[in-house]
Amino acid sequence: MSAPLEGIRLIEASDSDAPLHIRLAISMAGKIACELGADVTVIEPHGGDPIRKLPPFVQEAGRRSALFEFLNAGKRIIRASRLQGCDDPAVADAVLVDESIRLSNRVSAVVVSTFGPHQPTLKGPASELTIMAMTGVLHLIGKQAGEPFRLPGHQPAYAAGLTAFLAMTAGLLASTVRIADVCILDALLWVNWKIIAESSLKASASDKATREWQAVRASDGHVALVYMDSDWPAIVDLVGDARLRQPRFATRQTRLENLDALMEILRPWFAARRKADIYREAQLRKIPLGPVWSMSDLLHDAQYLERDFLAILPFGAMPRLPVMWNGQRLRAAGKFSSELEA
Amino acid sequence: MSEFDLPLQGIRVLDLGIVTAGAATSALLADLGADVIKIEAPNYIDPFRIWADLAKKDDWWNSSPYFNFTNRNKRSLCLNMKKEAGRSIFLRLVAISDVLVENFRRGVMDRLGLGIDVLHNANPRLIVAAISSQGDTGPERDVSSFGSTLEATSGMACLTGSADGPPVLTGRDLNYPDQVVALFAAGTIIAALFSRKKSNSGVLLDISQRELASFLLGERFLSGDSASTREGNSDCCTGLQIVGRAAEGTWIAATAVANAEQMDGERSLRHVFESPTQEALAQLETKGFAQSIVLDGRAIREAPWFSRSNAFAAAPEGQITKGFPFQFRQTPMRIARRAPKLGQDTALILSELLNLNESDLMSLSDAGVIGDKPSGTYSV
Repeated sequence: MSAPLEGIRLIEASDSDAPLHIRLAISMAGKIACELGADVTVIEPHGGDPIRKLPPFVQEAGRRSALFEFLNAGKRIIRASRLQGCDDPAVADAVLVDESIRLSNRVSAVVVSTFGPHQPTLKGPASELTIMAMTGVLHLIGKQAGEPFRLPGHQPAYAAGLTAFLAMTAGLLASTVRIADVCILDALLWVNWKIIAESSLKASASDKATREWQAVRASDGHVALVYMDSDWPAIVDLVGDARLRQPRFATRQTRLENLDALMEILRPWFAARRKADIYREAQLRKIPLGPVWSMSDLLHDAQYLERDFLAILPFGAMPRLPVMWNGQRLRAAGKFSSELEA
Repeated sequence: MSEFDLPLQGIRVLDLGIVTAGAATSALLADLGADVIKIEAPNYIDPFRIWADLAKKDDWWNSSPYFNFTNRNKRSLCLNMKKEAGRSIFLRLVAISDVLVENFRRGVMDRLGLGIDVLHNANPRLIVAAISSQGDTGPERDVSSFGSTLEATSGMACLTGSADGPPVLTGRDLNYPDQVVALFAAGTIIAALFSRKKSNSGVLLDISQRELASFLLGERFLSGDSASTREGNSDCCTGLQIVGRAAEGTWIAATAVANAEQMDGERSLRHVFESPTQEALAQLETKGFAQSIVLDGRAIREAPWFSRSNAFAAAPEGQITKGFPFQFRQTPMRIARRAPKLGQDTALILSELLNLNESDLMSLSDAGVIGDKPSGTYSV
């Protein structure tokens, strides 16, 4: 089986001044294409890609950036003093660039920016955190504990990276050259669309409704207590406490009104049990709760092992592309080839 | 295809996607020009039609904003595939389609007699995107979960929240893994369409939402970070970063960016956050911080930039709906039709594509194979 994007030449280019989130988004889009078999060349700015110096680092001698290696494994990396003109059909079928790169419009291009050319009034610096604030992501996650919390890692940039990958494949399939604008703000707002859909309902969700699903302490960690209204009888059966049959817990509405009292009853039951045991008992009743696994737990996860999802390297694990193509993983990830080529 | 066509013009998609993951994947394909036929049955409608606590009105199943935001630009076919006649019509549609998207629980397609062998027998060029919580194989393929369950089991939740507090979930209103999988799945389906031009053969794409959530934390796996400590709102890749509360109680997010005034920690910002909101924002700007108020849904709608965002759009009848995560400069994507009412295009689709005539449609309707209302019992 040949890889789906085999033969496609893709170039990534971004100016050394491009903000981190734009660089990460471009890199993520190129990474997915690379795993699908595209021939990806990164034009690294002079002075080197700043991501090379960023944490987290691989646990080995030297400070090799795991962030850089994860995003660039398998790509060809060159340094060039001039980034303009990279969209030359002689060398590329598509390009992923930041907005500072001047395009000749001869090959399909995906231009990644923070706010997009359609937002002339939005200027000034931004970060992944401030974009999470603007798009309501912080507001939603915050409601659970009072203080707003961000998504971990680089989710705004990576969500934009998935978007840039989609725009890039659509451009490849089109019969003529397409220029697509991907901006981090729109990509993350699209992801958080329910915050706007909610506001068109007459009663918006209460703060308690967003606390309905929460992590509860088990004897050896936490379990995410996630359930729909229809799962309630199964929860009552799982916990087996007669107080859960009281009328004040009979409907979703009354459970939300009495959420603190409800959690008082549920907490001791969870605290006395191991998360794996809770998971097993819940699954027997089809309750969609799940244990909070750490990265190291997942290295031994039966599901991930069976599906060969993580390539285990001497110092860590490289997640493979999250798709099986006719039952097969596409290509072996995990080979570092991010050293500079001439 | 002309230069004015969208890239997926001429591609037909059978959409068995429900709630977000599957239905939003097909919606992206529709936005890109595909003819997307959303298929529900009288006795099994998309749960998003029920998700909202809607008043009991005559056609409550056509009123859910969650459904309507997600399914615009599609046509609706209401077909009972549990009946032999319905299954046979479905397979005739498979034979003339390019893509099938489904995100049922594992095993449902097999129980309908529509396993991958049956589908590829009907159309060897069909691209089947099977989107599921855990993937199509493995010991946990059948477990029940929602997006926030997968945040827990993918490693995401254990990194969310403050170091001394519990892990935090994005919850029912975001269900983050359900949203991002649509972007990934749509891109992957188009890569498969591209590849099919050469191979001329179909494929089964087995996409795991839980794996995607872990993939989006790839660097944390690669670094061998076994501690998995929660970082609160700080970010090891940036300078000082904080979400603080201004005098009126407004939360403000701030990140020190290039050339920011040197700060020796959160303590040095304390006085900034004791100021009123506008003053705090101005002070942060002067000190070289990127900053924004933490907006809620209403504040986003009122923001001056909101009407220019591509992420939301107006449907033909004017109501706000989900827009696009990106946009093309030439031939932009647009909302050509609002979300369909259940079964509104059944007759047109079956006559246009399968040449069924009025009396065929009448007998299918009498036999309960097609319809335009839910026939089951649904709690509203």
